[in-house]
Amino acid sequence: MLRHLWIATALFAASCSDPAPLVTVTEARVIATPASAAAYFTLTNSGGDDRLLAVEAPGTGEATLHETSMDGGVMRMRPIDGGVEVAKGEAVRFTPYGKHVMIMLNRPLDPTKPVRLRLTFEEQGIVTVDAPISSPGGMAN
Amino acid sequence: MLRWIRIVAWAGVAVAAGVFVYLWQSSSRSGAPAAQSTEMAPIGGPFTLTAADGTRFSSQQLAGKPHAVFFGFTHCPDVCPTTLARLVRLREALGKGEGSFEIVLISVDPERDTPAEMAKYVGLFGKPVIGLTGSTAEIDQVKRLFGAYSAKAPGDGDNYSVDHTATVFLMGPDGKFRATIAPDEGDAAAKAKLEALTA
Repeated sequence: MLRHLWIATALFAASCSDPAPLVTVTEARVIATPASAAAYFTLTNSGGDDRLLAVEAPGTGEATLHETSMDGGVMRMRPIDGGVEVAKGEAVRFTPYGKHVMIMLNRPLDPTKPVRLRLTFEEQGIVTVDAPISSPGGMAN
Repeated sequence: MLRWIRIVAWAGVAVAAGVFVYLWQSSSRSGAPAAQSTEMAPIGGPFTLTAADGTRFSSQQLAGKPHAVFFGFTHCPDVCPTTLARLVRLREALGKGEGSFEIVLISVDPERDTPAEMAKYVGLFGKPVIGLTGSTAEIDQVKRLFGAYSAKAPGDGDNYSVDHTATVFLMGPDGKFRATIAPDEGDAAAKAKLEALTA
């Protein structure tokens, strides 16, 4: 009897602990200019809490998590310190005029080849995604 | 009875007088800011910068054409291309042709933005966009003309960002300031302003 109680308690405890994070990356895209590029995507977390710590774009240049803010008509772009929280059940959107990955390019990107993004999460580890490139002129059309 | 009517009538006169004095005072108050605004320095004015092909570009070359002026820089991956692409898109949506108004990008990063860099950048939009740069002193002068702000943000080496005014200034064919488009303003409102600019 006591043994059964222990098993039941252990199972209950296991069911109460946080589920593993399950972040999916969708709508990944890169807007490229000759000197720099911005990567945007949507992070959807159907698991437990997690945090995006860093994003790299190997072979293209230095990538940094950035956020644009507007203050009285003045645009400010700053690195995001401490990563971006992706809470359980939530979606975080990286969009123009908001959060983005800024890439300072070593050389202009080939617009026909998608950019591989490596996203490092605190819990889930590394997730890679290929982001197609569009030029700003492409955005205009 | 008659005495009461007289009292009520005089009370009515007093209330009417009070309302009149209040309205008169508030109208003179609301007139004050208008008087002040006429004393403000106008937005815009004559300038000479360097075009993307390396030739000198005078604001005279914009005379007779409405134009939309935006301050930005080529290492700006987010707000600048988004804003310029939006202006290009709205110009197409107006359906009045590429000559209906000029889109002018003025660099706030003259250190990195050589005419060649500007040429590559404005070339991305696939439609006419005028890219202008210049010496730091020239850029500072144009910023003063438009009341625009910019300042280098902290960064390592060449990887700095520039904080800058992200408002679009709409200028008439006479070179006079007409309106602004704010970054967070919807496309419908922005299009209506461009419609008025090119009417």
